[in-house]
Formats: sequence, structure tokens, C-alpha cells
Amino acid sequence: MINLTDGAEKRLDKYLQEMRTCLRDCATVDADEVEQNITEHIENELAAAAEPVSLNNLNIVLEKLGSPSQWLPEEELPWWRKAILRLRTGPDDWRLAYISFGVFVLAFLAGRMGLLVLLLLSFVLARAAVSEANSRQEELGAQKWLIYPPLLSMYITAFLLILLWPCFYIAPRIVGLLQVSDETYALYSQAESLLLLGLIVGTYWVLLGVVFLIRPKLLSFLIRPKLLSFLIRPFADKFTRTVARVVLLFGSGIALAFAILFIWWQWQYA
Amino acid sequence: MCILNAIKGTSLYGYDIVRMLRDIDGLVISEGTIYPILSRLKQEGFVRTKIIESTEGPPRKYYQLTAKGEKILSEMNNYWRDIKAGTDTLKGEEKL
Repeated sequence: MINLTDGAEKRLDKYLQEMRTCLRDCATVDADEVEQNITEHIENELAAAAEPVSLNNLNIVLEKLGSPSQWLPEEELPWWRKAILRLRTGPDDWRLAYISFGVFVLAFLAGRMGLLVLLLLSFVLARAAVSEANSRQEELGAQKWLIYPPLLSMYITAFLLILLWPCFYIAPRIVGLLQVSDETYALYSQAESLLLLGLIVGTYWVLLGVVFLIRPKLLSFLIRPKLLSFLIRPFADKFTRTVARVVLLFGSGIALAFAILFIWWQWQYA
Repeated sequence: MCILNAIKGTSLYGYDIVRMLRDIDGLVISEGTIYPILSRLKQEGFVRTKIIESTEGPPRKYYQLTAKGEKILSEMNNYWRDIKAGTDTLKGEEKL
């Protein structure tokens, strides 16, 4: 063993620790064997140096060896180290995608309080990543696997909220009001309330479909396009005419079916 | 390929392989990269090691080609020769 100064010894310990960290998860390399070879290499290089070996002399050898993080090709690294490496050294366009996905995962670990805030944050970051790619006129490529989960989670949630909020808010209140205002409370049974709810939701979907079908004309009349873009993009963009037609069709079907059932119920039992 | 050629027909100490490679002009490589490659070549069965007593210190690990390593090296050298021949042809066309 060679004698090192305190500074050199600390530097060597740190270097060997870094090497172990880099090699330990690589299945194709025997980390112990590499460590032994590197230690022998350093000893051989410094064999002729005056002892105790100074930090400067050691650094010359370590610089020639290079950083252990660069010794392995990227494809041999475990997935989590690839992710860290990309985040640390990758191009800026990938960093946003990684951060967005990281925040998205964190949201589910943060509990009820942090969930919504972090989901929103990951969504904003994902949108920023998409905008960045668009501004460079590049395809998202493999980035989409990181960007789509935060985007889709918000798109689907928003879409379901737009479609179903009457079920949870307006319809039960209307049904409740009818029941309270009408003294013949018993006539409005649970089944009757359900039919009324279906009728309200179906009618709402019809209106929603119509609004989104005539959206361009309606919005240019009601709201300035720039303000709209700022507020509801990309939801408005995703709500295409095809989706609007499907919502209108389903809404019409449901409203009609529940209206017929409601009338039949009234006629039968009222 | 350089590492396999270096140990072809002989047994070499890891550090000696690094010294041989760093003496090649134009071969820019971090010296530390060579040891993980040696380890990988060993795991894939292209080289094997043997421990030999050293007069300069503790026993040393020497690397030598296996039959599988010789076969792959032969293929790599042939491929390299083809590439070089093709490149030389292009250089000849340039002169014309």
C-alpha cells in the first residue's frame, strides 16, 4: 500500500465510493473485480511518486482514469440511473418531461392534501414540455411516455367533471326541491327521482353537445379568442366536433329514454 | 477489439493492457473505462483470468483470450479489414 496525505486519502476514498455506487447495479460488470483493478492501477501509477503522495499527484492519475459515471454505456445502467443521468445531463427538452413525471408520481405519495396541487403542477410542466417541443417543431417521441400520464389524468378528470357534475350537484338539488315543494312527497319515490336525474343529465349532455358543436361561432361572439386560449386550452382543443356529436347523441338517447320512462311512470302510478 | 487484440496469443496484466492502449496515438479513451470492459469480456466468456505471483508485490490477475474470444476477435478483425478496404477504395477514388 502507498502512503497518501490526508487530503489525498479522502479524495481516493471519495473516488472509490463513487465508483462502487456507479458499478453496483450493473449486471454485466463484476464491481469487486473492477475495484481491485482500479486500486492496483492507482498503486502502479503512483509507485514512483514521493511518499506521502500528494493530492495533486493523485488527481493527475484520477483524471486519466476519468469519472466512474462515464465508464458504463447508458444501456447497461438500471432504469432509475438512466433517468437521473438524463435529468442531469440530458437536453433541456427531456428535463421538463422527467420533472413532470416525477411530480406526477410524487402526487400519489403526498396524500390527499398534496395530490391535487402536485397533479396540477405536473400537468402544467407537461404542457410546458409539449409547448417546448412544438416551438422547436420536434416530435415528442419517447418523451410521450413521461408527458402523457400527467396530461391524460387531468384531461380525463376534466372531461368526466364536465359530463357528470349535474349528477353530483344540480340534479339532486332539483329533485330535492321538487320533493320539498310538493306536499305529495310519497309520489316522488326513489325510482322516480332516479328517472328525473337521468332526464336532467341527458338534457344537459344535449345542451353541452350543441354548445360545443357551435363553439367557434358562440365563442367568437361571447369571449375573445386569446382569453379563451389562455383559460381553457388545451381542453377546448381536445373537445372536438366528433366528441361533441357523441355527447349530443348519447345525451339525446338518454334524455329521450328517461323522459319516456318518467312519463310512463307518472301515467302508471301517479 | 483493441483489448482483445492486445491480449491475443499472450496473457497480460490489466494495468499493462491500459499502458499499451494509451500509447496508441489517436485512441482517446478514459483509462478507467478499460477495466469494466475487461470485466464484461470475462463475464461474456471472451477472456479468462489467472492469478500469477508477482515479484513486485501481491499476486496479479492476468487476462487471456478464450476460444470464444478468439473466434469473435477473428470476426471483428475481418469486419474491420473490410471497412478499411472500403475506405481505402474511397480514398483512391478521391485521388482520381
